Amino acid sequence: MVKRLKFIAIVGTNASFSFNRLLLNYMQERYRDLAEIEVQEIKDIPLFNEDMMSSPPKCVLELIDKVTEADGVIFATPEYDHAVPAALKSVLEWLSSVAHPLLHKPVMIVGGSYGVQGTVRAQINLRQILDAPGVMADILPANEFMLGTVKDKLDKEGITHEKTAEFLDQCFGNYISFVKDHIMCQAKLLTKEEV
Amino acid sequence: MHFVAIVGTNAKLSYNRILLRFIKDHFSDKATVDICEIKDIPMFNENVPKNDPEAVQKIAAKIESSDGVIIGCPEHNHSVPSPLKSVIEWLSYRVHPLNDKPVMIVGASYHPQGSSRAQLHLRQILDTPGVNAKVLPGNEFLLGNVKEAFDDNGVIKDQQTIKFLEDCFNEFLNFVEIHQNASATKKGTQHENGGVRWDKAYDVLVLGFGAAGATAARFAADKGAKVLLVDAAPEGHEGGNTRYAGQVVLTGYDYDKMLAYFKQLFGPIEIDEKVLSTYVDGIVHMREYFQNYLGVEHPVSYNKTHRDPDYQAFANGLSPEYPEFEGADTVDLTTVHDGYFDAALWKNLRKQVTDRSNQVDVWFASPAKHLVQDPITKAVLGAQIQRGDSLVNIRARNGVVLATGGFENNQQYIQNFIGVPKLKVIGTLYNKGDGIQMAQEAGAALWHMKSYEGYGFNTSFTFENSEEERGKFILDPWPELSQGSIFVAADDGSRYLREDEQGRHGHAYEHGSWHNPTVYEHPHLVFDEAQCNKIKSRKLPYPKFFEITVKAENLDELATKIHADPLVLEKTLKDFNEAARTGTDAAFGRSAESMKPLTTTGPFYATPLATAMLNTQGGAQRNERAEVVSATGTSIPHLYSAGEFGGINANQYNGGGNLAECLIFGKIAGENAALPKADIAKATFEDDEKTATADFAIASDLQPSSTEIKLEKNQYLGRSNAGIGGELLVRVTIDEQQKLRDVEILKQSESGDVSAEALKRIPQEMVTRNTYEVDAVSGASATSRALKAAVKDALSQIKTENQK
Ligand SMILES: Cc1cc2nc3c(=O)[nH]c(=O)nc-3n(C[C@H](O)[C@H](O)[C@H](O)COP(=O)(O)OP(=O)(O)OC[C@H]3O[C@@H](n4cnc5c(N)ncnc54)[C@H](O)[C@@H]3O)c2cc1C
Repeated sequence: MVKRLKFIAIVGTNASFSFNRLLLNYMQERYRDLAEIEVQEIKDIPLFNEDMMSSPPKCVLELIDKVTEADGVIFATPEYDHAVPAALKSVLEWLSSVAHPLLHKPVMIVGGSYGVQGTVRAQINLRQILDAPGVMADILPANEFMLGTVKDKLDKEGITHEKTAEFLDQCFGNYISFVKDHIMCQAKLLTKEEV
Repeated sequence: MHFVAIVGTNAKLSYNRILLRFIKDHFSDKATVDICEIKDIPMFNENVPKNDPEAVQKIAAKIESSDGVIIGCPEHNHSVPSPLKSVIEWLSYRVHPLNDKPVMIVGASYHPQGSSRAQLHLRQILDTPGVNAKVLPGNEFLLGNVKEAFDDNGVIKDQQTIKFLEDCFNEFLNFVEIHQNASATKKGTQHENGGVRWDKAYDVLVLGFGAAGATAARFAADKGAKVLLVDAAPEGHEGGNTRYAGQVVLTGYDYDKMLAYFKQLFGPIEIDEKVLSTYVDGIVHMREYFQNYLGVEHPVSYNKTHRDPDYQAFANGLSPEYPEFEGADTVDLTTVHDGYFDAALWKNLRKQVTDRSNQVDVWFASPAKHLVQDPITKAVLGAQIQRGDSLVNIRARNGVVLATGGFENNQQYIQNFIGVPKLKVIGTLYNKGDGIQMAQEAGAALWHMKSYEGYGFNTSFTFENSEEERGKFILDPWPELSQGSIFVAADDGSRYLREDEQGRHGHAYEHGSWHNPTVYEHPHLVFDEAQCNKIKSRKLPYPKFFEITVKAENLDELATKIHADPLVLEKTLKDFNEAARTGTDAAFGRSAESMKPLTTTGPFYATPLATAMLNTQGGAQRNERAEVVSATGTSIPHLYSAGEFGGINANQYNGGGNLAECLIFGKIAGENAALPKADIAKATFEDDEKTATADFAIASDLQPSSTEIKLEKNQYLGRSNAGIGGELLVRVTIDEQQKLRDVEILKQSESGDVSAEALKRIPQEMVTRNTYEVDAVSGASATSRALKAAVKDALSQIKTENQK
């Protein structure tokens, strides 16, 4: 029997209202037959401080465990000052210092913003960060899901714009294949080593 | 030079900190460097209510007052560390101290690249519109292999590296200097020769479009002046407190009686005789004023129409408000028609301005920031007005009128001047006391700063509801709040006033005269179950009453819920019940029939109250010529004021007095400001003939409504919103062959030189080529598009007409 895929979906902000949270909730619901998506908040995770690395906060350790166990991680990022919010950057710093659970973890990036650009700059920034040696995640190439003018396309019920929903389906489909390939490769690597 | 240096990490050990310390020491002869840590600045969060954390405010203030900022930026995961990013997010959220600030980036890291990626990224972040710092180009100081770089004293070992840092730092000093010079000419009014660069010139500049400003502008125009009238509020929100007012204007018929009445109202507070007599004289001629200047043939006298104890409680209490005073029988109120709180007077005053739109330009959403004063003569030459993102200098050849209203929305002024914790605003949200700062800069004396008017139930109350920006104005009587088993408790739970007082503009009777009651932080109405049912039995004048009311099973619990002292509250209830039983309220004199004992067993209820404020009275002192008086007692040349900004009403107040003051002193201020001045020869400023007619792009915001525009048979109106400044309105003229003869622009708010160019060129070209399809002016594509769309719109009406 094939194991059901399990993803951690990180809400990239500590704000109490976020369209990116709505977006992840929507994905969780829409793709429930394809995978189990757990929406993860970051508002309780403190600002990264390297002096705390010897005794990291419990919530950081819990997050590290969750990411380690997951088959993949989905990031939904807003854009602050043309970059990822400090709150999200801080989480990535924790996840690349205390331990390195994102190492070779398949990652998908999505984001929504009020403007037409739909977080393009923040997503580029996030890719760059995830690509840094201390993080080294495996990022799904292309499939740039950037939801501009988010207010008109997304509400509590989910994506209201049909074409956008279709594109997300396509991106998520690609991500699933990416993750599956990845798992297979890992398995092959293992067998090789065992041999 | 003074710089702020930001350590870009919260870590205890940081080579970037060491680097900044080195910079501080090494360049101490060239600049002072204040090294700022960021470890106490919490993670950015947009939900932090109202105020930024103190640490953020501190660093923002430091940056604000510095000449430049140096950032020591480490690199985490190829990017800026989150603690630093978080600081920048704070500094681009509520406050924007980095806006236009010169910034130098340095960085140290363990790797040979020395934080190059983080620096690159930091540049990008500092360049975003919300941050908008001016980052020193090039001069990338990247200190790699940092563990080896410093000696034990934190000094850079390699001489070449020090040399390069020196080069970079000198470049930064140059950069800051050039930047400062550039922004001085951009923003500054002062030319090197002491003159001023004006963007546009008028005869009279009026600040604030309420009753006082509208009146001043209109009377200045009637004296032949070309006037600019500006208001801080966006279009549709002008009118300040005037639009919210009851619209009643204090009136009298006998000068001597009215003067005697006022002397008692102001009581021991001395008012300059001349100012007072000018005011009283205006009040006794108010009916003529309505007839002669406002076009109201039959002004409505309140007393003649409605003097009947049962008619309208509101105005009955005002006409007169102090019936026991000598002369009170001459007091009356005038309105433009038989109606109240319907902005009728305001609309009339506004129309006086729009009827004169050929002489009065109006700018909305354009707060005045500073007065421009001649350094030698102290004459006020004009003002700096904020228009969009830029400050423009407006020359006023003959005078400036300050009519910016009170400081109802300036919490700091309310605390400083009135000395109370808070007041709940009922009127406009745009009166922030800007006039006070401008007047102070110009050296004005202030007066009547402590005086304000209130209005509400149980003397002066409205409800405290944090969800409401403006307090609810409770005008109709609400007897259930002062009659029965109910009282008002101060912060500790004790009573402090007579609940059934008929307040006089928020004043209560105290030992012989009327005063604003003490304002506490969290007073409450306290009542029992029976009273609660009584309140419920009637339609609530404030529908959210029970949403904000708290309930408790016993008195102890209630005290805790409203942060009162349980023992005090218990004693208050006991004393109140005793007073109710005996029929004597020895402490405050509440009437016997209004008191009924509360149950002692609960449940109890409490509703939070706030003191309702209509308007403040303080501001610059004025004389009988509406001139603003300086702190040394002389008048400040060319500066005038009118309205509640520095009103005459210093003490006890009779309703209608404020609007009367707007009409009376607005007229005097406008007329005097319009008078050509002889003393300007001394002032040094550029010849304003050139600038006076320039700047096509700075036009009036006044909307000519289509009904006011005259159209001949062969003329059509066209509109478009495709431009950058809201609606663009054109009038198109065609000849018998339906050829384009003329395209006139009636309204536009486009900005910038290129737009002005487009507005001039495109209509001409359309006429020459007989089509709206002409080439856009490069750099002004939006304006060009709007023009084409508007003309197309006008022409389309010919077509539909022909089809008919
Ligand atoms: C609910 C209520 C009822 C009232 N009823 C009466 C009544 O019946 N009779 C009576 O006589 N009085 C009444 N008053 C008081 C009276 O309304 C005001 O005192 C009077 O309207 C003040 O007029 P004004 O022109 O001086 O100021 P406002 O009408 O307040 O106008 C000031 C204007 O200045 C603008 N402004 C502020 N700062 C700047 C800046 N920096 N640059 C440019 N513009 C700026 C504001 O946006 C505002 O539009 C009442 C007040 C309230 C709140």
